[in-house]
Amino acid sequence: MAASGASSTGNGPSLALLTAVGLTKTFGGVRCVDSADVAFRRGQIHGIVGQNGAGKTTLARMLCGALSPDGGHIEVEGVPTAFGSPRAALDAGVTMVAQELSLVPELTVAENLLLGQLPHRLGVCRSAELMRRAQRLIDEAGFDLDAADTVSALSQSQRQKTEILRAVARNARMVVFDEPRSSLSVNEAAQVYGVMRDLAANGVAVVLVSHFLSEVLEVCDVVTVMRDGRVVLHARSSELNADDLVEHMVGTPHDAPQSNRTTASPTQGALRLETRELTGRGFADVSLAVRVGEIVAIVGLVGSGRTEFLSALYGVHRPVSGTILIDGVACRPRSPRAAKRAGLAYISESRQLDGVFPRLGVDANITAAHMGAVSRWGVFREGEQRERAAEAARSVDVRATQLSQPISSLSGGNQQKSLLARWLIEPPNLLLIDEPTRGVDAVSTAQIHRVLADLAETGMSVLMVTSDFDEALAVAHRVYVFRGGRVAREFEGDAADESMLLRAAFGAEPPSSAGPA
Amino acid sequence: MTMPRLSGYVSRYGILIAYALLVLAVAVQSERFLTKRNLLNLLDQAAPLGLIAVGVTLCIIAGIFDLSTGSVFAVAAVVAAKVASANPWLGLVAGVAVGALLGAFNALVMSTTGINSFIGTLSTSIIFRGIALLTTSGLIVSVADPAYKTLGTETLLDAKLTVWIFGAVAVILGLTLARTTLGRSLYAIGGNPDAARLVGIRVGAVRTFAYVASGMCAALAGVLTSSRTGSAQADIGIGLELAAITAVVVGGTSIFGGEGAVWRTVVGVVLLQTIGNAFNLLGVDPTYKQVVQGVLILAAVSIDHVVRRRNQ
Repeated sequence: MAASGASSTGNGPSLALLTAVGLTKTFGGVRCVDSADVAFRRGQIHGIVGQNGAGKTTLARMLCGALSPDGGHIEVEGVPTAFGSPRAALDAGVTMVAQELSLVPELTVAENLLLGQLPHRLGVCRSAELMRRAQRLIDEAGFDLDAADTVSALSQSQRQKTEILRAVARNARMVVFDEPRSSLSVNEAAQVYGVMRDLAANGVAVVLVSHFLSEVLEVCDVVTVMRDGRVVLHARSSELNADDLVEHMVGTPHDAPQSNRTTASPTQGALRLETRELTGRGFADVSLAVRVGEIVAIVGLVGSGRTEFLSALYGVHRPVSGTILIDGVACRPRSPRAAKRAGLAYISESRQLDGVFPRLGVDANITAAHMGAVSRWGVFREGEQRERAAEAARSVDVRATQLSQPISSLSGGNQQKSLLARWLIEPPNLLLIDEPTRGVDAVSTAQIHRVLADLAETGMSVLMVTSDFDEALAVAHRVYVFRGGRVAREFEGDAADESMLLRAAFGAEPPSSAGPA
Repeated sequence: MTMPRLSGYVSRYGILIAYALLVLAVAVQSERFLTKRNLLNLLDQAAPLGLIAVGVTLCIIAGIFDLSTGSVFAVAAVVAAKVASANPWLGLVAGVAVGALLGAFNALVMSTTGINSFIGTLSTSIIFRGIALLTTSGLIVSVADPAYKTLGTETLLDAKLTVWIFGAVAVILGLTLARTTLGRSLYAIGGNPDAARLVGIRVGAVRTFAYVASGMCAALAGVLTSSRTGSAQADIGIGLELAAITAVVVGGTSIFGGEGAVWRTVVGVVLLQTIGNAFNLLGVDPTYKQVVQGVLILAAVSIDHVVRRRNQ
């Protein structure tokens, strides 16, 4: 049980506009949000912070009707309400500025701003009036936007501003900003914070979900900290500093899973993988190394370039410059197929998108990467195929009634274990695995960690990307922290704790020990 | 225990049940239906569409459309007939070779431009139809040598050679899909192309195979049709590409790719042919034929769809 910092509801003078009462959401057996109680008041800017996967975005999406809760409910001015859709939330005056934007790229800024409430006479749009009203909105916010521009011609940050203004244009009573900062510069962020303050001054309840702790403390009136889906702290930001936040985000040490590292860190062994100043889309000047039999984790915030780096190693897209050495030999895989031939294997972060073949059986999914090993002259040897698939499935404990059943009928954990089994038909030298346990239940998570440790003991090297700092510490011999596409810090697994990783990832550490800014 | 297994069978083999019901209904109405002669005749008429459809099945399973098969059918027929005036057997071979070539051209166009196969093969189908017209100058090409008609008209063990050829191609492609790594790769690409690339499947090469196989099947159908009459012209086979896709989908192969089988397509083709046959046998006013045919196809596909969804 995590200790609650302060009472989370009913401690303010004004009646809350919107209250989350015991909100719960479960994905694939994992409680992403676990009985969250939060009250959002008019005229207040309310920050929500937490680690990756703490449940912030899931909570925000439930507040805006984009997800429906499994448990608990929402009260609007004390009246229990169920938002069946974003539309219903919008009708109640709740709107969201999402991470992924929802503008119509073919239309102008003005049309996007006032979509659904375009000024018209007898159904014919009054263009001049539309432009005038849109430009007034833009000018009031002080944004550098032209109402007549087409959205598809705008930069990412301009689109974000359009999205923000649209929430303003809807006369919303509550606006939820989910990571509005991600594509904005410092100056632009200041403008956005200005808009948020204006909204609050006009009596709007403003919610800010963000990774930028110091800015959250500066802008917000109150802050809620989430950890593992639970609300663990609720306090006025004037009573907090960034260290307090990190402390609550990390939690108590005994929350961390047992270490799975069975062998000492192979500090002397030969280098299996080395990159020198590797630069590509989303990452720059990354120099790191993985030894034979070593498990190395890359951690960082969402958008820190971890995934892009890992997939570039596997030839999914090509790096711009720098060197990749595999077993000491320079090698720049031009395609996944070439990377596979060089002894690499890759499991992506999204099983559904580019992992499983949903309509094929579990066995066919497991043998998909090594069909040559279970066939002769292109014809499957059925018995051999079944046996090898069953053997691989057994080694990672895939639970299926029959291996011929479609993989889509398995739970997330069993699908993930099947993907791991896929690469064990002919084990690679280096396994690249992105988010090995995302959306996976606790039992399967422990099993996957066990399997990775066992594989490393046999000499396989593992380079994994994870948002779960606990996982990195529990499984990896060494940890690299990415920030803004670069390696910010490197830690020996034994020498680090979660708050050290978090500080490095958030850039909240003291200047003396800071990596490149 | 029995219930889920039973409904599982119904959902997998629903199309066979639908077909059995249709056969029963027609057989009750007309005693001529279940005669050997009628059934062999039915299969002979189904063979050209069947050949095209089994080729198209590979494409649809791999997540691509081939809308050029009707035109490939025509080009192959006229090329075969043209060459046949020099040597009838060479003509037959040339027709099929042209089909392979046009299939490879389709693959080349889609892979270099990256355009969607639906609109891409729709465009190439117009080009191919034009080539057929240019080859014949719009005239009928007749082949004088009677040897040319051997393939289309001779019988073996009471069945036309075309039926045997259709059967052989269906078995070969069926085994390819079910038993080979190439077949598995087609399913994988159709089900999740990004995942296929990540496990090292050569997506481009496998798609090329599908286009070429589809082109060759359509060409073989065209050659056999031309051989049957001893002539060919540029405007034959119009609309066959859609009839083939209809047969594939009626059989229960998913239009979204990644799922399906050749035997399903064979059932789909025979089912469509049976509907047409029943009209003739029962002496129904042919003006109703298209409406009834459309309704029956819709019914077959809807039942299949509903049964499958309930089982998911």
